[in-house]
Amino acid sequence: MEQSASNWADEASSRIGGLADDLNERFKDASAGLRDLDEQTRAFVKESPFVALAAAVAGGFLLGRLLSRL
Amino acid sequence: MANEQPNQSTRSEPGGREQPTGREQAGREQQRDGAERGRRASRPLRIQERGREAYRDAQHLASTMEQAVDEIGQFLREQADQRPYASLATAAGVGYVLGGGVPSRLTGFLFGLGSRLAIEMFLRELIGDAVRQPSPAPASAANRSVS
Repeated sequence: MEQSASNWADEASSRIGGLADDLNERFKDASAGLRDLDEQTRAFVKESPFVALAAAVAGGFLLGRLLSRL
Repeated sequence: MANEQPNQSTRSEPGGREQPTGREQAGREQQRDGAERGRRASRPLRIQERGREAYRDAQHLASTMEQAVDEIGQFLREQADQRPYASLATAAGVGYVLGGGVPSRLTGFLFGLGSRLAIEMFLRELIGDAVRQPSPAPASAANRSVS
């Protein structure tokens, strides 16, 4: 009985450890992706600021248009 | 007055009206013609001058506009370079307002939430400052009790 409980605890701890590792990995991936996105956004805004600003205005306009009907 | 001292070059009519003599009338007509001719001659000149003035004004306006557009472009470029996300958010906000999203219920809700959070933060800061700076009277009382 004790052994089975111990086995269960070991299994649970290994599973939790695996889950934590998995989450950590995913978090790292997401962080790297966000960093890439940030760099790309900054580079794009720096290269063509007017296009980026116009796109932002257009996006805001569409959002406002959609939300005004709610 | 004209009846008391009549002009020599005018003839008094029985009705009281004064009629100029023929020579004087001719002179006046000549004068009028000359003035009219002068006016007619100077009209194109004045129009030309006005046109030049308008052209100069238009050129000045165009150069001022060009300068203003350049300055705005430079400002936007600088802002986008230094604060890209703030610039994009501002542009999106302008678009949102233009799109008529302001009177929506969601905006009202978000605005209310934001203002409530801001008030809470302000009050917390105010209370924190008050706690960090205690009044001098209790401090002196505490000193007395320690000594």
